Amino acid sequence: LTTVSLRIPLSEQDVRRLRVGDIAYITGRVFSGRTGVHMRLIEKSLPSPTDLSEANVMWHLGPVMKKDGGKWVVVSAGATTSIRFEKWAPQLIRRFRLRAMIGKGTMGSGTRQACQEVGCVHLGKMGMMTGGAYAERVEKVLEGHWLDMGTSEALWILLVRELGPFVVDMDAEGNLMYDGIDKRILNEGVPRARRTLGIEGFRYALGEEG
Amino acid sequence: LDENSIREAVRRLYLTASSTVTSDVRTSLRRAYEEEENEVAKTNLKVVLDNLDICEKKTIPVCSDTGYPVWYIRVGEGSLKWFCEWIPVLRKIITEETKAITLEGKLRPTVIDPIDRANPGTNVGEGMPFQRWKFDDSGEVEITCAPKGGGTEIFGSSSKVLLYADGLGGVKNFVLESVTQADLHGKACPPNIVGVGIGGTFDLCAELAKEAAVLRPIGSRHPDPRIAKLEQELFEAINLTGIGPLGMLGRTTALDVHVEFAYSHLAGFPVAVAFQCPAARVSTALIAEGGIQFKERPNWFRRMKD
Repeated sequence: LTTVSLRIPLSEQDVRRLRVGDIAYITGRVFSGRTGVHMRLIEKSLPSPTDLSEANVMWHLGPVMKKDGGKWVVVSAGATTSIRFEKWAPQLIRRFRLRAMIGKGTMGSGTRQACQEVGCVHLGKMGMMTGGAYAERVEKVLEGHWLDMGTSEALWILLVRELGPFVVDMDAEGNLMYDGIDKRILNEGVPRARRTLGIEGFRYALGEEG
Repeated sequence: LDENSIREAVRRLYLTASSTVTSDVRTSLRRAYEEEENEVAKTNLKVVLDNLDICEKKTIPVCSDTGYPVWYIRVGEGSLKWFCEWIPVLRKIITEETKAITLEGKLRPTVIDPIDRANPGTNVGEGMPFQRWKFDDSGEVEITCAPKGGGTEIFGSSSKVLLYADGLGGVKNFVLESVTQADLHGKACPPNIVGVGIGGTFDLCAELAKEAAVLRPIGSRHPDPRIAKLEQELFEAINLTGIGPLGMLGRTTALDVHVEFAYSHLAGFPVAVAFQCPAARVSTALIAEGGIQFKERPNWFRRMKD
C-alpha cells in the first residue's frame, strides 16, 4: 500500500497526485461539519462563519466535546457516513474549493464530478469507531462556530497531527475505489452466498403484482 | 439497596458500556484480524483493536457516536414484592443520569427532535432514553445499558412481511438483501452481529431482531435446533459475500448471526433484520435486595447459566 502524509492547506497539485487505494495521514487545520453545517452553508446560503481557505479539508464529524478549564477539547472523534451529505457536497466543494472530504464510506456521482472539476478527493476512514485514537491526534480546538446547533453539529476548526489512516476512495481523476470492490461483491460474493443458501433465482411470491 | 446505590449503578453501567465493548466481541475481532489475509482488511481491524485499548484505558467513548440511550430492564415476578417501590425510582434515575453524564461531556448529545432538529443537548426527549421493561417468572432484576449507534440503526435495520408461499427462502433472501444494502461501502460498519426476527407482530418481530443482535453473546446458538441451523447457515453465507471490514473486501462481514422467533399469524409473518456494529456496548447489573452485582451481558432470553 502506498502511504502518504498530507499537509493542509492542500494544493490542487497535492490532491491530483493521489490515486484510489492510497493510504493517507493528514496534518494541519480541518473543519468539521455534518447535516446542520450543510443546511446553513448551502440551503440557507449563509456566509461561512470563518475563513476556510487555510482549512480546506472537511471532516464529516460529530465529536464528543468537553469544556476543560474554559477551553474546548475533543473527547472522542470518528467519521460519519459521508453519502448522507451527497445532496449538498458538490456545491460545497465548488464554493469553498475544498481539496478533501473525510468520512465513512464514499460519495456519489455529483461529488465525483465536483472533485474532478475542482481537484478534490474523498478520504474514507479505516477502522470502525476510532474514537480515542482519533481524539489523540487532535492537537487543539482552534475555533467553534454555530454551537447553537449543539456541540456535535457545530463547525469546529481543529488542528490535527498525522490523523489517519484514511484510504483514497474517490480521486480527482474520477476513479472510485468501490467500483471494483462492489463488482466483486455483487457478481461473485453474493451469488456464492445465494448458492450456499439454496436461494438462487428466489422471487417473493407477490413480486411485482404485490 | 438505596436510591444512591441505584444511581451509582446506572452511572457505572452507562460509562462502562460507552467506553468498552464486550469481551466476546473483542475476542472475535482479534480472531478476525488474525484470519484476514488482505492488508486493507487487516488494517481496518488493527485500527479498531488499538482504539479499544486507548478508550478502555482512559474511559472515553469508543465511538464519537455514543448512540441512542437504550436500556433493557428484566424484572422477575418473584422480586416484585421488594422491587415494586424501586420501579419509578429506576425509571427516573435513568433519565436523570443520561442527562447528567451528557452534560459532563462524557456522551455526545446525539438525540434530537426529528421534526425541527432541535437538540436539547441532554439525550433526553420524547421517548428517550428508550427503556424496554420486560417481566418474567424469575426472581431476578437485571438492568442493561446498551447504547446503540446510528450507522446500524439508520442504515441497517429493516423489515418486510412475508407470505407462507415465500417460506424460509424468503427469510434467507431478505437477510442477504439487508446485509448487502447495509454493508456495501461500510455503511453499517461491518463486521456486524446480525440479528434476525421471524414472526410475531410487526413490532415484536423488530424487537426480537434488535435484542438478538444486541444482547446475545457471540457464539451462542438458539435452543431450537431449527433456528440454530438457520443461524449457522446465514452466518456462513454472509461471510461468503466477501464484503469484509468496512465494506473494503475480506473474510469477515458478520461476527455472528442470531435469530429469534415468535408464533405469527396464519396469513403471513414478518421478518426483521437489525445490526450491531463492532461498538457492541453492553453493560449489565443484577439488582438484589442485598446489593448490586455487575456483569457484561444480560441473561435476557434466560438461556445462560450464571
